Amino acid sequence: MIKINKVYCKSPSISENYDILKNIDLEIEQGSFVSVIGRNGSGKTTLGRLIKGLIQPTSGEISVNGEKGDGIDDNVGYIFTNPENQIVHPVVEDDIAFGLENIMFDEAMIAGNVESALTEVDMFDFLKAQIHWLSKGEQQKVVFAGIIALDHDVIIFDEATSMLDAKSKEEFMKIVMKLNKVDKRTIIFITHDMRDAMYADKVLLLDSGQIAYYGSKKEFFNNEELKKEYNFDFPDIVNLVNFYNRRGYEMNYNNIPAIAGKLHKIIKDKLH
Amino acid sequence: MDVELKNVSFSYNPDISSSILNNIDLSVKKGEFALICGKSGAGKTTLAQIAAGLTNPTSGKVLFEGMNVFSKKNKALKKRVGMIFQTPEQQLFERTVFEDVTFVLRREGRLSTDEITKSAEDALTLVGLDFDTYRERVSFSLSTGEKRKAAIACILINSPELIIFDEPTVGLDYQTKKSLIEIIRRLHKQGKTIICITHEIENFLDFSDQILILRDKEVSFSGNKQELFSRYDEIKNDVRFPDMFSILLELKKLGNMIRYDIYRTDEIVLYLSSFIEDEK
Repeated sequence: MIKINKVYCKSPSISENYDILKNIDLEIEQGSFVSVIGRNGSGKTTLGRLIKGLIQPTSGEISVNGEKGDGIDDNVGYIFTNPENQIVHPVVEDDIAFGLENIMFDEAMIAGNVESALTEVDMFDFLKAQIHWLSKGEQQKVVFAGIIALDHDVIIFDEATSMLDAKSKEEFMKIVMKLNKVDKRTIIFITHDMRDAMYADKVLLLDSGQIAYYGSKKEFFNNEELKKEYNFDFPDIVNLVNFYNRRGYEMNYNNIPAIAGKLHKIIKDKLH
Repeated sequence: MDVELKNVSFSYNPDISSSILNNIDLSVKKGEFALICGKSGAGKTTLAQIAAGLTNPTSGKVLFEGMNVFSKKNKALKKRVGMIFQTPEQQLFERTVFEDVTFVLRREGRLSTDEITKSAEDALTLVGLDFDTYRERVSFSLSTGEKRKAAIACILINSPELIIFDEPTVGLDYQTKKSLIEIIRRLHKQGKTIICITHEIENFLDFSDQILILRDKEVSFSGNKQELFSRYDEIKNDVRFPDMFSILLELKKLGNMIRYDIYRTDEIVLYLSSFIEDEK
């Protein structure tokens, strides 16, 4: 369980000293999948960094699994937007091994763990590759493998799929879902793409450093007032699914073949 | 400006067989909008840098207005191109927005101070940043969206005829993304030739004239959007089709006898909602 109690956090800039986060009260249950959305500058990344312990709040308290940290929390994994920010070794396998070496992982086991993490993200062929010759999307997958290799309770993804192509993104999300549903890890998924929120259990909407909404995904995607107030649109697919769900059909947001299957039946009944 | 890539191949080290691009052909006519898509690592960024005349291909030709851009005597051609890299906001380095945007012009020393100011005002207006509000703002204190727009203004101040965007909408929130797409659409309307690399094709599909998809270093698809949809099964792993098209095309696979000639996602939602509307 992550508990955030009356947290304020100021901007590090001396010239523009304002609160990035204001009075945040929040509880995230262990094993849940929370999608964090909000405009650029709304405080999403700051919240993630606070939970990881990369920065400290100006006031208020944060605890992860009961531990009130005053430094970097080893229980929390963090994947940055720009993979170059967390790549430390020029070669893929060394970069992933680096994290394991740091936590004094049994040396004899490191190579095996590195290989299985890379296999999981479909990058095994790049084991010996030079990282700076990889594309940004491939680098994002390497960073993801590095985090999978470490056994964190909580994983924070900060726009971590922004540079992935369609297929990789789909596979990436499958692994994230497995980490959440099977391994019961807590997932905090910071994103701009509202389609990503379709995978989550809960949605956290931040606006100007405050919580504008925190609740179930379903309620969020049916909240027309929120949409108007904060000037965003739901993805087309949400509008379509909502339309049918309101009329008694049961469709899930993120399964296109299943939606097509149900529509097929509806249309067939209609045409005949 | 007409751009043509003829049989272009590229490899970092010609001695090794591992190439980045193999035999790519691309022809973009003046005023056209071309989308380049494909998986991570397919060679999109490399292709963009070659098309911008920044990287010399290992073999093949790059022609601007029919002239070889890598020939010394055609050096001036490169000035007519603007390349906007991935996350261009990382390239801001001056103290204020004004200094960043005018950096190149000030160094060239070709224009008077007044002319430079006027150009900066025009460039910032093009990206929707009010000149008086932003000229003295500290570049580093801007939001990501503002920084990106300022970085784009740095390129637009040179009035390029061909503009190449590499993933212009990555990492932006919904509202900023929408305004950036609008800026690009406007540049296209003004007659600029545009090549845009993106994973998010639905943002640009409406106004693109041609789409090029790279797969394993080669062109796997080249054509307009009608042709793109007709080859859904072949290329659905290379690009993320807008959800609504995927649903429509899945329906087609199921043998559903409905229309498949709608190319706007909001219209597809309306159409697919029309089947039970009267039961309400």
